[in-house]
Amino acid sequence: MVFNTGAALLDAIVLAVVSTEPGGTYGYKITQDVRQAIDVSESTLYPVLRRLQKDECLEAYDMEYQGRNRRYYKITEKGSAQLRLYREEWGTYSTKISKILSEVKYEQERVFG
Amino acid sequence: MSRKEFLDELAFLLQDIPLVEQLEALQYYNDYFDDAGPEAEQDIIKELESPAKVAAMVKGGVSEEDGEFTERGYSNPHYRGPSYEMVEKEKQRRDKEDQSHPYSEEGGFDGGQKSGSSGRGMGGLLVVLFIIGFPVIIAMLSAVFAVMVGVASVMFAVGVVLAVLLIVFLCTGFFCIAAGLAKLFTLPLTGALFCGTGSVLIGLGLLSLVLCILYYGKVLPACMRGLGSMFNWSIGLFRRRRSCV
Repeated sequence: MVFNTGAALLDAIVLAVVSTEPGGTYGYKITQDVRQAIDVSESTLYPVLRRLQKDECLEAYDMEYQGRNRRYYKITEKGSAQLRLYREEWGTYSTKISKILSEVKYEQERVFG
Repeated sequence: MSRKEFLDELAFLLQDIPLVEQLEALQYYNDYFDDAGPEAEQDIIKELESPAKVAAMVKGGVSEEDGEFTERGYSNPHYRGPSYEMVEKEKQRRDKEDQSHPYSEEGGFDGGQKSGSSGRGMGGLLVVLFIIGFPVIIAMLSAVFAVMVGVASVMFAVGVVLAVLLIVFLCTGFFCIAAGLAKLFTLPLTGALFCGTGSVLIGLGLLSLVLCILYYGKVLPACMRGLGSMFNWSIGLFRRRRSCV
Protein backbone atom coordinates (compact mmCIF):
# COMPACT_ATOMS: atom_id res chain seq x y z
CA MET A 1 0.00 0.00 0.00
CA VAL A 2 1.10 3.55 -0.68
CA PHE A 3 0.25 4.77 2.79
CA ASN A 4 2.25 3.74 5.80
CA THR A 5 0.58 2.25 8.80
CA GLY A 6 1.97 3.85 11.93
CA ALA A 7 2.38 2.14 15.26
CA ALA A 8 -0.79 3.67 16.66
CA LEU A 9 -2.90 2.63 13.69
CA LEU A 10 -1.48 -0.86 13.83
CA ASP A 11 -2.31 -1.01 17.53
CA ALA A 12 -5.81 0.20 16.78
CA ILE A 13 -6.35 -2.43 14.08
CA VAL A 14 -5.05 -5.24 16.28
CA LEU A 15 -7.15 -4.12 19.23
CA ALA A 16 -10.21 -3.89 17.02
CA VAL A 17 -9.59 -7.37 15.62
CA VAL A 18 -9.09 -8.90 19.07
CA SER A 19 -12.12 -7.09 20.48
CA THR A 20 -14.40 -8.77 17.93
CA GLU A 21 -13.75 -12.08 19.70
CA PRO A 22 -15.01 -11.74 23.27
CA GLY A 23 -13.79 -15.24 24.08
CA GLY A 24 -10.29 -14.45 22.87
CA THR A 25 -8.45 -15.19 19.67
CA TYR A 26 -5.03 -16.51 18.65
CA GLY A 27 -2.02 -15.27 16.75
CA TYR A 28 -2.65 -16.92 13.39
CA LYS A 29 -6.26 -15.76 13.25
CA ILE A 30 -5.32 -12.23 14.31
CA THR A 31 -2.77 -12.11 11.50
CA GLN A 32 -5.31 -13.32 8.94
CA ASP A 33 -7.91 -10.79 10.15
CA VAL A 34 -5.48 -7.87 10.17
CA ARG A 35 -4.37 -8.82 6.69
CA GLN A 36 -7.88 -8.29 5.41
CA ALA A 37 -7.33 -4.59 6.04
CA ILE A 38 -3.63 -3.97 5.63
CA ASP A 39 -0.72 -5.76 4.11
CA VAL A 40 1.41 -6.69 7.04
CA SER A 41 4.19 -9.23 7.16
CA GLU A 42 3.75 -12.25 9.39
CA SER A 43 6.65 -11.31 11.60
CA THR A 44 5.33 -7.80 12.30
CA LEU A 45 2.42 -8.79 14.46
CA TYR A 46 4.19 -10.67 17.22
CA PRO A 47 6.01 -7.57 18.56
CA VAL A 48 2.75 -5.62 18.39
CA LEU A 49 0.86 -8.27 20.34
CA ARG A 50 3.62 -8.53 22.90
CA ARG A 51 3.73 -4.78 23.26
CA LEU A 52 -0.03 -4.48 23.77
CA GLN A 53 0.18 -7.33 26.24
CA LYS A 54 2.89 -5.59 28.23
CA ASP A 55 0.89 -2.40 28.03
CA GLU A 56 -2.03 -4.28 29.63
CA CYS A 57 -4.23 -3.63 26.63
CA LEU A 58 -4.30 -7.33 25.86
CA GLU A 59 -4.40 -10.32 28.12
CA ALA A 60 -2.73 -13.58 27.08
CA TYR A 61 -3.69 -17.01 28.32
CA ASP A 62 -3.22 -20.62 27.25
CA MET A 63 -6.10 -22.90 26.38
CA GLU A 64 -6.07 -26.44 25.15
CA TYR A 65 -6.94 -26.90 21.54
CA GLN A 66 -6.77 -30.29 19.80
CA GLY A 67 -4.44 -31.74 22.38
CA ARG A 68 -2.03 -28.83 22.48
CA ASN A 69 -1.73 -25.54 24.25
CA ARG A 70 -2.70 -22.55 22.21
CA ARG A 71 -1.98 -18.99 23.22
CA TYR A 72 -5.06 -16.79 23.22
CA TYR A 73 -5.35 -13.06 23.40
CA LYS A 74 -8.23 -11.14 24.92
CA ILE A 75 -8.83 -7.41 25.14
CA THR A 76 -8.68 -5.87 28.61
CA GLU A 77 -10.68 -2.99 30.01
CA LYS A 78 -7.74 -0.70 29.42
CA GLY A 79 -7.44 -2.02 25.89
CA SER A 80 -11.12 -1.31 25.29
CA ALA A 81 -10.70 2.24 26.53
CA GLN A 82 -7.71 2.68 24.24
CA LEU A 83 -9.62 1.24 21.31
CA ARG A 84 -12.55 3.59 21.98
CA LEU A 85 -10.14 6.48 21.85
CA TYR A 86 -8.51 5.23 18.67
CA ARG A 87 -11.96 4.93 17.08
CA GLU A 88 -12.84 8.52 17.93
CA GLU A 89 -9.51 9.83 16.71
CA TRP A 90 -9.65 7.79 13.56
CA GLY A 91 -13.17 9.05 12.88
CA THR A 92 -12.13 12.69 12.92
CA TYR A 93 -8.84 12.01 11.17
CA SER A 94 -10.27 9.95 8.32
CA THR A 95 -13.19 12.33 7.84
CA LYS A 96 -10.87 15.28 7.49
CA ILE A 97 -8.53 13.47 5.12
CA SER A 98 -11.43 12.19 3.02
CA LYS A 99 -12.92 15.66 2.88
CA ILE A 100 -9.69 17.24 1.71
CA LEU A 101 -9.01 14.51 -0.83
CA SER A 102 -12.53 14.62 -2.25
CA GLU A 103 -12.42 18.43 -2.44
CA VAL A 104 -9.26 18.24 -4.47
CA LYS A 105 -10.93 15.75 -6.75
CA TYR A 106 -13.96 18.01 -7.15
CA GLU A 107 -11.76 20.99 -8.09
CA GLN A 108 -9.95 18.94 -10.68
CA GLU A 109 -13.21 17.75 -12.16
CA ARG A 110 -14.34 21.32 -12.52
CA VAL A 111 -11.12 22.38 -14.16
CA PHE A 112 -10.88 19.49 -16.54
CA GLY A 113 -14.53 18.69 -16.94
CA MET B 1 14.30 -25.38 5.57
CA SER B 2 11.75 -27.21 7.66
CA ARG B 3 9.60 -25.82 10.41
CA LYS B 4 11.69 -27.57 13.03
CA GLU B 5 14.91 -26.16 11.64
CA PHE B 6 13.38 -22.73 11.50
CA LEU B 7 12.21 -22.81 15.11
CA ASP B 8 15.46 -24.33 16.35
CA GLU B 9 17.47 -21.62 14.70
CA LEU B 10 15.09 -18.98 16.08
CA ALA B 11 15.52 -20.43 19.58
CA PHE B 12 19.28 -20.30 19.13
CA LEU B 13 19.17 -16.67 18.01
CA LEU B 14 16.93 -15.62 20.89
CA GLN B 15 19.26 -16.93 23.59
CA ASP B 16 20.41 -13.47 24.66
CA ILE B 17 16.99 -12.17 25.66
CA PRO B 18 15.12 -12.99 28.92
CA LEU B 19 13.84 -16.57 29.08
CA VAL B 20 10.22 -15.41 29.39
CA GLU B 21 10.55 -13.51 26.13
CA GLN B 22 12.22 -16.46 24.41
CA LEU B 23 9.45 -18.83 25.43
CA GLU B 24 6.71 -16.35 24.52
CA ALA B 25 8.10 -15.81 21.04
CA LEU B 26 8.75 -19.50 20.41
CA GLN B 27 5.28 -20.45 21.57
CA TYR B 28 3.79 -17.80 19.32
CA TYR B 29 5.57 -19.06 16.21
CA ASN B 30 5.00 -22.68 17.14
CA ASP B 31 1.28 -21.94 17.49
CA TYR B 32 1.41 -20.06 14.26
CA PHE B 33 2.74 -23.06 12.34
CA ASP B 34 0.24 -25.35 14.08
CA ASP B 35 -2.72 -23.13 13.24
CA ALA B 36 -1.66 -22.50 9.68
CA GLY B 37 -1.46 -26.24 9.06
CA PRO B 38 1.31 -28.38 7.56
CA GLU B 39 0.40 -27.45 3.98
CA ALA B 40 1.07 -23.77 4.61
CA GLU B 41 4.41 -24.47 6.33
CA GLN B 42 6.67 -23.59 3.42
CA ASP B 43 4.63 -20.46 2.56
CA ILE B 44 5.04 -19.21 6.09
CA ILE B 45 8.75 -19.93 6.19
CA LYS B 46 9.12 -18.12 2.89
CA GLU B 47 7.19 -15.15 4.13
CA LEU B 48 8.97 -14.95 7.46
CA GLU B 49 12.12 -14.80 5.30
CA SER B 50 14.60 -16.06 7.88
CA PRO B 51 14.90 -16.88 11.59
CA ALA B 52 17.35 -13.99 11.80
CA LYS B 53 14.73 -11.51 10.64
CA VAL B 54 12.10 -12.88 13.03
CA ALA B 55 14.62 -12.81 15.88
CA ALA B 56 15.46 -9.21 15.06
CA MET B 57 11.76 -8.30 15.15
CA VAL B 58 11.27 -10.04 18.48
CA LYS B 59 14.32 -8.34 19.96
CA GLY B 60 13.22 -5.00 18.54
CA GLY B 61 10.02 -5.39 20.51
CA VAL B 62 11.83 -6.49 23.64
CA SER B 63 14.57 -3.90 23.70
CA GLU B 64 13.73 -0.50 25.07
CA GLU B 65 16.18 1.26 22.79
CA ASP B 66 13.85 1.94 19.93
CA GLY B 67 10.74 2.79 21.82
CA GLU B 68 9.65 2.38 25.36
CA PHE B 69 6.64 1.43 27.35
CA THR B 70 5.67 4.23 29.62
CA GLU B 71 2.60 4.81 31.72
CA ARG B 72 1.42 7.08 28.96
CA GLY B 73 1.52 4.35 26.39
CA TYR B 74 4.04 3.28 23.84
CA SER B 75 6.45 6.02 22.98
CA ASN B 76 8.71 5.70 20.03
CA PRO B 77 10.78 8.48 18.52
CA HIS B 78 9.94 7.13 15.06
CA TYR B 79 6.24 7.55 15.69
CA ARG B 80 5.93 10.99 17.16
CA GLY B 81 2.76 12.71 16.20
CA PRO B 82 -0.97 12.15 16.50
CA SER B 83 -0.46 8.67 17.91
CA TYR B 84 1.29 10.12 20.89
CA GLU B 85 -1.40 12.69 21.58
CA MET B 86 -4.05 10.03 21.56
CA VAL B 87 -2.69 8.40 24.64
CA GLU B 88 -2.50 11.79 26.31
CA LYS B 89 -6.16 12.46 25.51
CA GLU B 90 -7.14 9.08 26.83
CA LYS B 91 -5.38 9.94 30.04
CA GLN B 92 -7.35 13.17 30.34
CA ARG B 93 -10.59 11.32 29.73
CA ARG B 94 -9.69 8.80 32.39
CA ASP B 95 -8.83 11.55 34.83
CA LYS B 96 -12.24 13.08 34.28
CA GLU B 97 -13.88 9.72 34.86
CA ASP B 98 -11.93 9.25 38.05
CA GLN B 99 -13.16 12.56 39.34
CA SER B 100 -16.81 11.88 38.56
CA HIS B 101 -16.87 8.57 40.39
CA PRO B 102 -14.19 7.49 42.78
CA TYR B 103 -13.12 4.32 41.06
CA SER B 104 -9.45 4.54 40.51
CA GLU B 105 -6.81 2.43 38.96
CA GLU B 106 -3.78 3.54 40.87
CA GLY B 107 -0.53 3.12 39.02
CA GLY B 108 -2.40 2.63 35.79
CA PHE B 109 -2.47 5.83 33.87
CA ASP B 110 -1.31 8.36 36.36
CA GLY B 111 2.43 8.56 36.36
CA GLY B 112 2.55 11.13 39.14
CA GLN B 113 3.59 13.77 36.67
CA LYS B 114 1.10 16.33 37.89
CA SER B 115 2.65 19.50 39.20
CA GLY B 116 0.87 19.15 42.54
CA SER B 117 2.63 15.99 43.51
CA SER B 118 6.06 17.59 43.57
CA GLY B 119 4.71 20.26 45.88
CA ARG B 120 3.31 17.55 48.10
CA GLY B 121 6.75 15.94 48.26
CA MET B 122 8.28 19.29 49.23
CA GLY B 123 5.68 19.73 51.96
CA GLY B 124 6.42 16.26 53.29
CA LEU B 125 10.11 17.09 53.45
CA LEU B 126 9.37 20.25 55.40
CA VAL B 127 7.11 18.36 57.79
CA VAL B 128 9.98 15.96 58.47
CA LEU B 129 12.30 18.94 58.96
CA PHE B 130 9.79 20.49 61.32
CA ILE B 131 9.49 17.29 63.35
CA ILE B 132 13.26 16.97 63.57
CA GLY B 133 13.64 20.66 64.40
CA PHE B 134 10.75 20.65 66.86
CA PRO B 135 12.84 19.92 70.02
CA VAL B 136 15.29 22.65 69.04
CA ILE B 137 12.51 25.17 68.52
CA ILE B 138 10.89 24.21 71.83
CA ALA B 139 14.22 24.52 73.65
CA MET B 140 14.85 27.95 72.12
CA LEU B 141 11.40 29.17 73.01
CA SER B 142 11.76 27.86 76.56
CA ALA B 143 15.05 29.71 76.97
CA VAL B 144 13.55 32.94 75.69
CA PHE B 145 10.57 32.60 78.00
CA ALA B 146 12.82 31.81 81.00
CA VAL B 147 14.89 34.92 80.36
CA MET B 148 11.74 37.00 80.01
CA VAL B 149 10.25 35.60 83.23
CA GLY B 150 13.54 36.30 85.05
CA VAL B 151 13.72 39.88 83.79
CA ALA B 152 10.07 40.47 84.69
CA SER B 153 10.65 39.09 88.20
CA VAL B 154 13.63 41.40 88.78
CA MET B 155 11.60 44.36 87.52
CA PHE B 156 8.75 43.46 89.82
CA ALA B 157 11.13 43.05 92.81
CA VAL B 158 12.84 46.41 92.17
CA GLY B 159 9.43 48.06 91.92
CA VAL B 160 8.26 46.50 95.19
CA VAL B 161 11.52 47.43 96.98
CA LEU B 162 11.27 51.04 95.77
CA ALA B 163 7.65 51.29 96.89
CA VAL B 164 8.46 49.78 100.31
CA LEU B 165 11.43 52.13 100.74
CA LEU B 166 9.21 55.08 99.80
CA ILE B 167 6.58 54.11 102.38
CA VAL B 168 9.15 53.25 105.09
CA PHE B 169 11.20 56.44 104.59
CA LEU B 170 8.18 58.71 104.52
CA CYS B 171 6.44 56.99 107.46
CA THR B 172 9.55 56.90 109.67
CA GLY B 173 10.46 60.43 108.57
CA PHE B 174 7.07 61.84 109.55
CA PHE B 175 7.12 59.76 112.75
CA CYS B 176 10.59 61.10 113.63
CA ILE B 177 9.57 64.70 112.97
CA ALA B 178 6.40 64.23 115.04
CA ALA B 179 8.40 62.64 117.87
CA GLY B 180 11.13 65.34 117.60
CA LEU B 181 8.56 68.14 117.75
CA ALA B 182 7.03 66.48 120.85
CA LYS B 183 10.45 66.17 122.53
CA LEU B 184 11.63 69.60 121.35
CA PHE B 185 10.15 71.28 124.39
CA THR B 186 11.23 68.72 127.03
CA LEU B 187 14.54 67.53 125.55
CA PRO B 188 15.47 70.13 122.93
CA LEU B 189 18.61 68.38 121.71
CA THR B 190 16.98 64.99 121.32
CA GLY B 191 14.01 66.67 119.71
CA ALA B 192 16.28 68.43 117.26
CA LEU B 193 18.04 65.14 116.47
CA PHE B 194 14.72 63.45 115.80
CA CYS B 195 13.55 66.36 113.68
CA GLY B 196 16.79 66.28 111.70
CA THR B 197 16.66 62.52 111.25
CA GLY B 198 13.03 62.80 110.26
CA SER B 199 13.87 65.44 107.68
CA VAL B 200 16.63 63.28 106.24
CA LEU B 201 14.24 60.31 106.13
CA ILE B 202 11.55 62.40 104.47
CA GLY B 203 14.20 63.59 102.04
CA LEU B 204 15.13 59.99 101.32
CA GLY B 205 11.42 59.20 101.02
CA LEU B 206 10.95 62.01 98.51
CA LEU B 207 13.98 60.71 96.63
CA SER B 208 12.35 57.29 96.62
CA LEU B 209 9.12 58.89 95.38
CA VAL B 210 10.99 60.50 92.51
CA LEU B 211 12.70 57.17 91.78
CA CYS B 212 9.35 55.41 91.97
CA ILE B 213 7.74 57.87 89.58
CA LEU B 214 10.70 57.53 87.27
CA TYR B 215 10.68 53.76 87.60
CA TYR B 216 6.96 53.17 87.20
CA GLY B 217 6.57 55.96 84.68
CA LYS B 218 9.53 55.40 82.39
CA VAL B 219 11.75 52.42 83.16
CA LEU B 220 9.05 49.80 83.68
CA PRO B 221 7.03 50.61 80.52
CA ALA B 222 10.23 50.64 78.51
CA CYS B 223 11.20 47.26 79.90
CA MET B 224 7.73 45.91 79.25
CA ARG B 225 7.92 47.10 75.68
CA GLY B 226 11.31 45.42 75.43
CA LEU B 227 9.93 42.18 76.78
CA GLY B 228 6.90 42.48 74.54
CA SER B 229 8.98 42.92 71.43
CA MET B 230 11.18 40.03 72.52
CA PHE B 231 8.05 37.90 72.94
CA ASN B 232 6.75 38.98 69.55
CA TRP B 233 10.09 38.25 68.00
CA SER B 234 10.22 34.72 69.36
CA ILE B 235 6.61 34.09 68.38
CA GLY B 236 7.38 35.51 64.96
CA LEU B 237 10.34 33.17 64.69
CA PHE B 238 8.07 30.27 65.51
CA ARG B 239 5.44 31.45 63.02
CA ARG B 240 8.01 31.87 60.27
CA ARG B 241 9.18 28.35 60.81
CA ARG B 242 5.67 27.09 60.68
CA SER B 243 4.67 29.13 57.67
CA CYS B 244 7.54 27.51 55.78
CA VAL B 245 5.85 24.19 56.43
